[in-house]
Amino acid sequence: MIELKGVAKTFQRGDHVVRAVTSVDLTIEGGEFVTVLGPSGCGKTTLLHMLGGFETPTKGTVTIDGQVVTGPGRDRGMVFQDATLFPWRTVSANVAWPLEVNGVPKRAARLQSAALLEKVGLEKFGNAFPGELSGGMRQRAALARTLAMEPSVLLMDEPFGALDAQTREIMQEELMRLWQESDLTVIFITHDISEAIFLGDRVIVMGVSPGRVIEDFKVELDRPRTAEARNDPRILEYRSHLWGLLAHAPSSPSGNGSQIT
Amino acid sequence: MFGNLNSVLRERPWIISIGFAGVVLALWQYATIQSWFPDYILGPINIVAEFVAMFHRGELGDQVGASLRRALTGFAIGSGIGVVLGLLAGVSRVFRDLFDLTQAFIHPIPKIALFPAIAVLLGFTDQTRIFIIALSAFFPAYLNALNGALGVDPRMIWVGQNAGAARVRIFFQILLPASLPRTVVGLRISLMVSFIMMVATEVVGHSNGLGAGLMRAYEEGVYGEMYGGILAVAICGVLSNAALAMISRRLLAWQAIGGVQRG
Repeated sequence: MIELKGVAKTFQRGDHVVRAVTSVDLTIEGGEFVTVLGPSGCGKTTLLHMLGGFETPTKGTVTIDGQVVTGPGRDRGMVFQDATLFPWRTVSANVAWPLEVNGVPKRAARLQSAALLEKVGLEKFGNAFPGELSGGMRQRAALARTLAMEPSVLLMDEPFGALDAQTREIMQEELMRLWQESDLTVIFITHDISEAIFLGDRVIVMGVSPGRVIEDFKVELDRPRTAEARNDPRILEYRSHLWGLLAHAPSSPSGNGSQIT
Repeated sequence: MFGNLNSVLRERPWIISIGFAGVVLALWQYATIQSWFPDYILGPINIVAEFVAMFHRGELGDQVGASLRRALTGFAIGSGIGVVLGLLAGVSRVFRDLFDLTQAFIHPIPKIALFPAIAVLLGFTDQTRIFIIALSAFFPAYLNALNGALGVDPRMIWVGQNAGAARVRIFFQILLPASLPRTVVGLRISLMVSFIMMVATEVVGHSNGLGAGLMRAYEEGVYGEMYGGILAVAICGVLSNAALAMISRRLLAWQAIGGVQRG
């Protein structure tokens, strides 16, 4: 179980203070698939970085199964928007890397890496370099590398945001399948309403200025969910409800309050 | 008819390079045959003949050996320390602030100006020369490694921290390869600078090596040997540079594949 209590994060930007996230209280059960939806600048990426332990909250605490998060850890695997694969290593060596870090001998690591690549449908591309892969394939490889850490929580930061519409839907369905076969908890950031609904058990809607949670919304679509679920009439209802929320949320004057670059 | 010539040249660009060099050399040779230049300027053919003669007399081998040992030792020490400190400064604010002022003050000093000052301490010895070469090789390596490290996507480092990798592993397995394209540029400049400083430090004080040979030939008025020595310096520089270029092409082979990743 993941618990956020009064979590806030402020940045100093020159003379003024940017309130990226203010006072977020949230409880996420083990095995849940939670999507976080919001416009840019709402602090959703900052929130994810705090869960990952890459940034520390200015106020409040993040706990996982009662343990306060103080830094990054293999229990929480991060997948970034652009895959951040190591371009100097082959795909298979990329996936094997977290295993080698853990002291798994090279040969055994390569075998496990092959199994992981098969799981994400990249079994034929182990010897390729990341530069040779399409965007979708790179995200599959990055996912395999993260899974190699055997995390209990997957933190995904708009992982399909840069993909074309068709590839994105295929990736969503594969992620669904992978998650349904596992006992992973997934926290998935997106600014795409349909993606948030299709993937999530819950949609956490965030607003800007300051970044905060404006709604915690339950998605009642059936599990296990497959491509069929996209035709469920309830999706239209959900969409218009979420559209309404986002449209009425005040817009950020400066935007991008949550970007790290 | 020029269309055909164009396509031939596009496929074999080296024809242009070699052609141009050939024309310059031919003009130079022609000018010396016609005695357009004073006697102390030799034509390219005479220089090569002189070079071959020196080679056969065996004096060139010793000079080249002594010089290369100095240049490459200085280069290895200076650029090695430069790359390590540059990468550290690139990832750590503390390291960056620590070196910044010192670096900014020493960098603009032509290192050869420090030669007498170091010689007071160590004499006109090999150690002094290698120190000056290393100091000169340090800066291009340091500055390029620093900028290479600053340009690394911080999330690459996060991937390493996420996996629980130790700092040393993150340094060598993520930071170093990720900043390698830029670092290699620095190394190539450092190598060239090492050769320049090799000659510069050898002409002063009683030394051996190519620079000292050049100076002696000048003083004794044997211009043939002077030009032969210059040719030897040039050949050493070109071959070392080519070796480094080959090594870096192998290390950076991944860069040539499919271009750069998004983001």
